[in-house]
Amino acid sequence: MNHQLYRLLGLLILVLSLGACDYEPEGIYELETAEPSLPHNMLDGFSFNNTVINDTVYVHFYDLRFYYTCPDDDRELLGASYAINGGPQTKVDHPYSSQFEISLYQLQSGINTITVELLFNSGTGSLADQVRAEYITTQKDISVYKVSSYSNAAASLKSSVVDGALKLEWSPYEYPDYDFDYYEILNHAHIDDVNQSTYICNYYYESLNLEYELNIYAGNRVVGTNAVRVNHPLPQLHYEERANGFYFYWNKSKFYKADFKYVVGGGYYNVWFESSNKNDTTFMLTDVPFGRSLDFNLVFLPTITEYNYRYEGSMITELAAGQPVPVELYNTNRLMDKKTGQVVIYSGNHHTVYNEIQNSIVKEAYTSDYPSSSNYGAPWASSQNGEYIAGHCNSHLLNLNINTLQTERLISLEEMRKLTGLSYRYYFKWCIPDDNGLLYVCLVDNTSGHMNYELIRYNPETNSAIFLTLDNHWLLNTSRPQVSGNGKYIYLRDALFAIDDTQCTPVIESTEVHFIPNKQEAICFDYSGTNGQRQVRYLDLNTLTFDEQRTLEFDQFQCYSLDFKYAVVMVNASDPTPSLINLETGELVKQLDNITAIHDVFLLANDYLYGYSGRRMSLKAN
Amino acid sequence: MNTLQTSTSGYALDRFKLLAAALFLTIGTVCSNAQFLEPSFSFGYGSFAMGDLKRFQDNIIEQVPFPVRITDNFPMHVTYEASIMVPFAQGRHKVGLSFGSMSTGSRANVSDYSGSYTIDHLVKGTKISTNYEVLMLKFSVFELAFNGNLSYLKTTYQLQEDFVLGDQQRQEEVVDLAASGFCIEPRFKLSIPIKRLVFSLQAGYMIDASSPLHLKDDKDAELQLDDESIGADFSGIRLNTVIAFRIG
Repeated sequence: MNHQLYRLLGLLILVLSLGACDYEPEGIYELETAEPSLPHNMLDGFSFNNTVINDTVYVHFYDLRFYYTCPDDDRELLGASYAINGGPQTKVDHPYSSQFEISLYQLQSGINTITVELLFNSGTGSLADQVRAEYITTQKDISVYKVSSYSNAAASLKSSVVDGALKLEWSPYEYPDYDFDYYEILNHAHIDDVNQSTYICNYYYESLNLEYELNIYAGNRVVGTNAVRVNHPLPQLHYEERANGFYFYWNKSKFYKADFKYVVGGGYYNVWFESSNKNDTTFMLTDVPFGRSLDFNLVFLPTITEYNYRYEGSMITELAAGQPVPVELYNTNRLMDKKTGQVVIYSGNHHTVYNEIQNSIVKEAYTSDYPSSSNYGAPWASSQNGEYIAGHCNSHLLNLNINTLQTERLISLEEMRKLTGLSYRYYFKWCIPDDNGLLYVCLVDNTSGHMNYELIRYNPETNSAIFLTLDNHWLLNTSRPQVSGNGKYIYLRDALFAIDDTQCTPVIESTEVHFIPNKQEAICFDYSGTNGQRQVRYLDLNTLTFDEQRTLEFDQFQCYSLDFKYAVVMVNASDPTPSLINLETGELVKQLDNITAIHDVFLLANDYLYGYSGRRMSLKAN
Repeated sequence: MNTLQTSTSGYALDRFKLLAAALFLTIGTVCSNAQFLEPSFSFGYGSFAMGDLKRFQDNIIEQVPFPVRITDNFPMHVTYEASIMVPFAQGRHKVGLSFGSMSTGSRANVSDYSGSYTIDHLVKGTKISTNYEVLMLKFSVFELAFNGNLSYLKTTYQLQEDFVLGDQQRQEEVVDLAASGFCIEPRFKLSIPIKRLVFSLQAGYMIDASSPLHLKDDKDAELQLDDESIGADFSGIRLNTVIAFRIG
């Protein structure tokens, strides 16, 4: 029985051991694979958000944006990196998006080389390939041209006269095939053709003094701008005095394509002549009013409506019927050369030396700078002896050489600020010289909430400046300051100050003071006469006392000569006839009964008071 | 699509289980009190239908990202069984209990120089059976008998995925399911008794009526393919050799 049990036990062990013979799956399917390879149409996958010309990518205002799409269906881009001009490789964060951007600042101007490394799946078809764990790399160099944000083409803008018209020309835009939009001649032309680099303006004529601004647009932006100011002086207006009047003539315009008329106009808008065509370049004036100096301005009158507002003043000449007496209005656009007696007439940068005796123009010139008359300041101020003529053009103090009619820059505003320690808010207001060439300069800070004025005595020879102080700096806010020849007195706003070293002390107040050239004397005008009449008094600058013997009184005091020798006055209120008075002697020179247009005298005086362009008045002496 | 879905088992199946348990208990009691015993061991080969799992395998292959091929597809495999029988009526009838096991499976694979990808299906069935055998014919030294059994079959099923890429390997048991149910196996047995040993050849056909495959801890979560519950089907031909001992 035990043997049988052993056999049974053996069978059980056999069963259990066979239980370990469970099914085990087996078998391998070998997959055929290919050699690794790059995508066949790999080069077709590159694209850019920028313009590509001849395999060069142009970037201008916008970043370089690179795209890659694998053109083969069975291939995939696994990664990308790029290097700029041989620099370190930068890995693209999201390679499957197949795009990256390079900022403009990372690129240098001109040619750049972007080396792009692409990772593709190997293309073997293996399991690793299919799960994109097996890749093959390739590199491609991309040529990128960074276009400068600015074009130099506009800098070449220049003008010339061609066939009776104004010609503007410039260099063509440097990148004609890239992102050119158009040229713009501001207010004149819009040019879409990049190769058109000239513009003919048929409507230009002399004296327009126009600024032509060229803007080059590319990528919807201005990439270059420049402006030229075209200034061709008008033909000179000449005249000859003939038995029956005055014969005027001038040269034809060189801009004969413009459509205009010649007009000769005079003061107070009198039109002496208007041409019927452009060949009319002469006219005869027979009816010249007596006793007035007359202005004759040659202007071009455009017949095109939109240009009406563009014609400007022209050459000025003056003449008077009869023998002129040098009675001058002291005005802001005239300057007497005290040495020669000649008058310098100026408007802007056009200066003319005029010989009154011969009634002719001695010299004329265009100065490079011209003085500013802003803030009612006198543009040019002359020293008492006439040696120095100074002014400012806002940015510089100027000196006028009256012999050559050329200006010289003495010091810039910036340099003056540095020299005096004044802040950037200070600007020139006025400037007058004394007989020694020292300049008395007023600077004003009108940018802050309240005005501040400073008075500086500036020596151009040593380039040094000294502050002159006075209790009330508001008095510096005047349009007609004067300095005595020796620099010891300064006249500001109805008050005369003595200058003691650096301190200005008032000595005479409530009067209008003028220093008599080459004398230690001043002439004063005020209302302190009997019954409020105008009083003319002489002040001895050495003793600061008035010469009562020479005091004069008039009912009205209209205007006076530049040398203060003559004045036009109303002697009394009951007689409206103006009289020419010798101020030195008090004698009546002439009753101006031939001047019927007394109103004009008041207008002239008005001009003086408000500093507008002045007029010269001449009177027949007998 | 293959999914695991919940279903409700039938009330009739519970009654059948109760009947089978009573049969096991009765035959067990008989065996423990018998004067003669005939333990035996048999092993051989069996084929397996596995229609559902073949379809399931095809469905999986369609979804994997690699061009896999089936290299082993539920082939015939070894079956074995141990039993103990109690003869009565001069040995013309026998009843008894048996324990048996069988397994099969499949493999889909693709391999190259860079790695390999394998999907293995492993199916194993373990059964405990009640046997009845009747001697039909004796001629010369041979005895021809009919043997029938009713079995309770416990099935386990594993789906394994193995992915090797270079020196990296990822092995994952994707699915681990089970099923249970009854099966019957009628067979004929040709024996040669030699003293107390009996050598036999046995041929039959197994009919598997197990439940669909389901999660081991949730019988209601059944494996489904195209909205039908599927299971392992061990049905197939059985060819065995048997060696038995007569004790008593």
